[in-house]
Amino acid sequence: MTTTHRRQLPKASLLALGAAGLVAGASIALFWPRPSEFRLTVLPPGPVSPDFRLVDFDGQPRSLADYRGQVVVIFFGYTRCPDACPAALFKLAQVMKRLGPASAQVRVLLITLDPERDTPQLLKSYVTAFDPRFVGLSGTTAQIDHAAASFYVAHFKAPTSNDYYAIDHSTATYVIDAQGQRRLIGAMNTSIDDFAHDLKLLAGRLKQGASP
Amino acid sequence: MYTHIHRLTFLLALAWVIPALAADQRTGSLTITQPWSRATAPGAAIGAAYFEIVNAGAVDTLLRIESPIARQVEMHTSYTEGGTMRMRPVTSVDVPARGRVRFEPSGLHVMLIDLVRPLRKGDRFPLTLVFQHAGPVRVEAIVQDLGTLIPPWREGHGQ
Repeated sequence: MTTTHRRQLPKASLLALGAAGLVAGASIALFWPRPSEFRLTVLPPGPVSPDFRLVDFDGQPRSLADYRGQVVVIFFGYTRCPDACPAALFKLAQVMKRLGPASAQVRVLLITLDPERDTPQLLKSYVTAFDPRFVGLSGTTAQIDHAAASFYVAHFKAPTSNDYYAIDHSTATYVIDAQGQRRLIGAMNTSIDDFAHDLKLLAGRLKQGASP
Repeated sequence: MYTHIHRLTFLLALAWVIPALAADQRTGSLTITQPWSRATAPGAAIGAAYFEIVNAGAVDTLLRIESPIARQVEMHTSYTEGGTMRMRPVTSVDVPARGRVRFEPSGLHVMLIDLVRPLRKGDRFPLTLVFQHAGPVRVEAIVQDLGTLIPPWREGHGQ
């Protein structure tokens, strides 16, 4: 009696232990915070979804949903920006070159924070000077404010003289995945290598049709 | 930063050193070194220019900058505060005795407002720095590539 009991108990507990181990293992595999495969800062989905309703430099109304199915890279800036904006756009142009064929899945957008002075023609000649595939978006002040707020982008007009003003602004670069979710954020000092690495990862999943 | 283009820019830097040094301008105890600017997109209204002022003598003050390349020339400073890049006008810049002041991206810079023509890589244009004691000092800025943050001759010198 005791012997069979002894034989049964370990069997049952081993089974239970095994099952518990499996569950635990699976849970760990699923939920354990792994070191990120991305090199840029990974953003958790925020309470506000990124969105915009703007007009591109050819006069086409554009919303973020229009770019669903593509990896979207967004920089908020303005053409009268002395160095942060040209540096960011120049870097993204280098990133696009580095991506090679994968760049077909990536769309780079500049959203102007200066709709009063950045005319569609100026936006077009400006952004396409960096890469002919880049798109510039503008809109009414209210539309720009709404777009910036949905990305948590701060921007303020800062007069420097009687007839000139600068725009103080966040210099982050936002990466939106093919499902329209905010995924990554790059900074002024993020390297071309790191941008290319992460965009390739997101674009690669897109190509395979796997869920990101 | 930009280490991947380092080898290439090293070669470019060699090619640049001689003309860059030739662009240095010395007046009395002040030396204005390697003034540079950045190419602009067609139609772009503004440009920026940078240089370093090395002062071997007594304190002086940079009062203003003039240039025929733009309708308006201002001195501005950029700084980052909580992830936001801010820009403010600067009315004058003190150059300490036996000291140096560097105009550079994300810091002090010359704002060229309403450019009379787009700046193309390789172009040169004059800048006149007007000092309180040394008076006007004319230098030539060399236009670098669109998006340049560190001129070729400063690559690898650490920022």
